[in-house]
Amino acid sequence: MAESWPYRAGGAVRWLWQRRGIWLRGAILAVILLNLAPARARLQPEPPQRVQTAHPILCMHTRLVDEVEDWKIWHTLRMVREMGATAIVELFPWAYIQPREGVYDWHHPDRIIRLARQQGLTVIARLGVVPAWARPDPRLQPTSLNYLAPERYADYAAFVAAFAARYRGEVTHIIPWNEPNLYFEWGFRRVTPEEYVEFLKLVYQAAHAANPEVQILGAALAPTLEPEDGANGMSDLIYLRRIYEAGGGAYFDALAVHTYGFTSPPDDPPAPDRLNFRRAELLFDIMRAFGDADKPIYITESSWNDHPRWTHAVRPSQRIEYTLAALRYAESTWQTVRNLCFWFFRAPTLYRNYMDGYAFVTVGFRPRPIYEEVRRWALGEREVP
Amino acid sequence: MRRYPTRNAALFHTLRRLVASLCCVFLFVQGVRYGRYHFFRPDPSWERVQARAVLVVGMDTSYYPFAVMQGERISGLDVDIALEIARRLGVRLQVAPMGVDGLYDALHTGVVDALISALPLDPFRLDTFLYVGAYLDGGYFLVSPKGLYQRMSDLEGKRIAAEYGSLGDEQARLWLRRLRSLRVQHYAEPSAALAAVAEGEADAALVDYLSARLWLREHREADLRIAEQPIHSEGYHVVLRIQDLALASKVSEALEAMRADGSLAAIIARWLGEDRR
Repeated sequence: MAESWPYRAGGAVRWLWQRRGIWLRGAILAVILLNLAPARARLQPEPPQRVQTAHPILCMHTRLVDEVEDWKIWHTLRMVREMGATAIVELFPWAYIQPREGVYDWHHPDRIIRLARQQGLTVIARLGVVPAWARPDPRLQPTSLNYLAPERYADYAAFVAAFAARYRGEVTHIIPWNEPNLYFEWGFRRVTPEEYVEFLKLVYQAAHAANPEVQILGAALAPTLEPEDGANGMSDLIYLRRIYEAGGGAYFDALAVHTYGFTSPPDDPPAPDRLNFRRAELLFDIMRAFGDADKPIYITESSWNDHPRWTHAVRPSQRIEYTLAALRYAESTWQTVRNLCFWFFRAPTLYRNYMDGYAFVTVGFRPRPIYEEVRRWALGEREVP
Repeated sequence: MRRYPTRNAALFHTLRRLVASLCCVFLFVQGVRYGRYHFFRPDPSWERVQARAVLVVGMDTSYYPFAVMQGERISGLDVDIALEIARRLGVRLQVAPMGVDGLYDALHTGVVDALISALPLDPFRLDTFLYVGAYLDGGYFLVSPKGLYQRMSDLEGKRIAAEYGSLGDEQARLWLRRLRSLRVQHYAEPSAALAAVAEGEADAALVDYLSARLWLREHREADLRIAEQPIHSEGYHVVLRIQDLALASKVSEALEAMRADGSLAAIIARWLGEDRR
């Protein structure tokens, strides 16, 4: 009688069971082989490097905070050094470093700063992004990541002090906050320069108490044509004047400045109703008027964009030409400007919008022509006409 | 009750039934899930457009020659392609003008049915959107007298013109490492690079397709040809939501028919001049 299929299947199972030793070993071996993967790239020990440059004014704004792999951070910083830039600006989010009250996790800033110092780069640290514990309960009051109520200023100041103390001798430039003249950046609270002065005073005193060598930079203001009571913020010119009027000049050792060229060339003359590269000079005039003419200035964001679909972008050739002209102009004319930092060097991933037109290097570390040309200028090589 | 010769036989019988039952349950669940997703999922996209008798297409109306707004009037290559697709689908076209940053959001939220706005395929968005038939390749091509130079290997010992800082320049700089004697000449604009080739200052230009077509349209006397294949391809697609397979199929058929009967080429030629390859 022919055997039924369940009987034959049972026979097969029995056959397998009798040889379980072999196939179990085979299965284990297959699992091991299938899970073999290249080891994570590890950084080789490298001697400390020095930046070779003919123009130490050059600086890049990096985006390393969201970078996971060590080798990408290292490769970015190495390319920045090879470009001839002497400094980087980097954001260190408070929310990442102090996820809970009293608990610090310095792992990520440690490795960025260690690798930057190894490449001989100066780090200008921008500190922002408020952790959840320092904001109101979202069930009672939904807030943005930039919301910091005045009663929490002391917490932020304590964080800045901890940062300044930890990186004493390594990071000497700290920017508390970013573009506080914008409604969005000020946590959707009413923008008031006088309140920023109160905030800055606390931060300045705490940071200097923790590390007397530290330089606190007045937060860069967003170049904007908003009026004094604008819906989206306040004019940078009005804001800076009111900072000085409120006595804020005593609470920053240097000023951070943002200045973008948009579609204008860098020699376009400044005017209060224009957004262009030389708008920064109007800020310098205000500093001069309040007796701060010699205070150092760090341009922590500047750039032209060559995205083909953005109305405020320029052609790639213009971008290179304007960038080099801006560097020459700043170096020769703006005596108190220590660094001109370009937004931005490379992003960990594509933005998929006009922001990609600011990058000097692609996500895959391919240098764009602007990188090559700025590098040639910084190293004192012949320029392409 | 069934009797088994040994205890092992009873155990294997039970085990067999258990494994078979589990396999059946697994196959049934997977079958239902697959079927619901691929066969029984309702796709009213085409019925919705038919019921409205209007195809709503999102466009960035600040990008010449694809779509530009002059007063109340919107015109351009993308507009004409959208009009022709709508005509073939038997519906009216409604253009929703918007900024380029808002296009994908408008499609994702159902404000528009499709996007026709010189959009290249973005692999990152393939989970959410369908890219239908590239109607134009806006990438970088070699342009040379009589189409003499078609690829990198043809350029040994030649002079290549490129817009300074552009993707063409980036590519030409890479070729410098691979060819023994290539000379890269920089120009402020693609038009200047093409003019240099026409005047014999350079042997070939590496420029984007649109610049090449528009320049050749204005300079009919120049005996320049665009290479057959792109050096860097960037096809422009019609984009739809991934669940709108029925509508995508109709749009794809319309585009294929336009390609087959030459109407797509005619629309492109109307805006970019004749195709000189």
